[in-house]
Amino acid sequence: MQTAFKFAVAAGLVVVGAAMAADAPKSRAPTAADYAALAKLPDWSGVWEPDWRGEHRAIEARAGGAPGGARVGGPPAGDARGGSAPAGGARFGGRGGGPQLTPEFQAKMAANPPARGGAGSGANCVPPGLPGIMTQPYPIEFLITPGKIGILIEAYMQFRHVFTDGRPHPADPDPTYMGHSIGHWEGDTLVVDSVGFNDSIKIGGRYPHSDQMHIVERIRRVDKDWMQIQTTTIDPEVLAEPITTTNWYKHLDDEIREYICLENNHDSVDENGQPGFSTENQK
Amino acid sequence: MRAINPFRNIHLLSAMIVALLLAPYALAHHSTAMFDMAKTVEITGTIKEFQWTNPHTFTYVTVEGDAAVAGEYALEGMSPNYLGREGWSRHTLKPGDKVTLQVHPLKDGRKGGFMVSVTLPDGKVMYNLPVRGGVDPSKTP
Repeated sequence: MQTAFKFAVAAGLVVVGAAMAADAPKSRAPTAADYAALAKLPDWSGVWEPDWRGEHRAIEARAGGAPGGARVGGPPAGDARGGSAPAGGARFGGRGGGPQLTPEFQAKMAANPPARGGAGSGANCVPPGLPGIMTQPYPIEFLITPGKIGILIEAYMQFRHVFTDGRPHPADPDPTYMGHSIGHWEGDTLVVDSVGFNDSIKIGGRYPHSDQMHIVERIRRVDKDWMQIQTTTIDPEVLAEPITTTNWYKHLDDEIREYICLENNHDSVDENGQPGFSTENQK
Repeated sequence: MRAINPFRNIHLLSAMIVALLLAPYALAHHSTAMFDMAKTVEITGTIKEFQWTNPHTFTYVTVEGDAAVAGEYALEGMSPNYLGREGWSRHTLKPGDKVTLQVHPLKDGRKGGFMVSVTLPDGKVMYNLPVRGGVDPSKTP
């Protein structure tokens, strides 16, 4: 498979690159030329709200576009109690049958099936990590700086770093919720490759992943009002084919607001997925 | 607390259907499993406290009447982040306000639930749960 091959090659380069870059500084002082170069990038100012209201789907439907494609919305599986939808609510390739698993992984899952629709821990204020964190019903913002793009995520008050200074992934990244992200521009599209995820991250909100999983995001402002993010999950040990979903984000002339999940949380979920709700006044 | 007569007000019925359709999509933070999203009840009472907090606003309402309904109700609502973008503020509900609320009640029978909408003392209806297309029904007749 061409994509998998490309990533296998990329992964090889990353290993070599990481060895070479072991002593590279983690940051350097930007120059005037670095800032001048930013001015040539697309304008992504403002904040961008995942289209959980279905406005873009309605636009597509009016334009005669194919309905039933990837969508944003639905209980984000990464954190929704009882939610069984894939992360971000996106469907798998429109086939409706779930992801195409490798035969080896399928056999493993048949012997030890994962719980379907298992509850996430969002009710306990644990954020879902990538990719689910990108499709919560709260806006995100991009801070484009020399060598690094910050992504501020209002839900759970999260942030991501996307390194655009040409550094490779670490050879042996610590597993995290967001992974380690590097990015580069292809015209007006920011291409982000992320690796190094912990076990909280499930493929399609359900399946465990291997340490070979990559999440690739292609981020592009399509017009004045809309940004599109195509998210591809690649895991040669688990997925026979990469999973790609497309999500839309509406431009809001607004700011990211504070979201401290533990400020006044009455909700909970136990280890069996049972929800709890406190009526006590906690303030 | 009494069940709404859905035929009393067709606009309310429509809003309720919309709210039912969208409610499960609106909560980032958790599912709606503990609320009876298929049921909407109306309660009338006095605002005791309105907490403009994440991950959810919380409203405590004192309801008077017979023993079966009287008491303090704890109502979860959408976050201040969402509501702030939809025309609410931390001053929308004030202690002492006499209000009528539409609520998806807790399944377990405790006095509480999720706020669907509220009718303010001046008669204005403010929707808490989102409605389709991002229209703010409080701004429509």
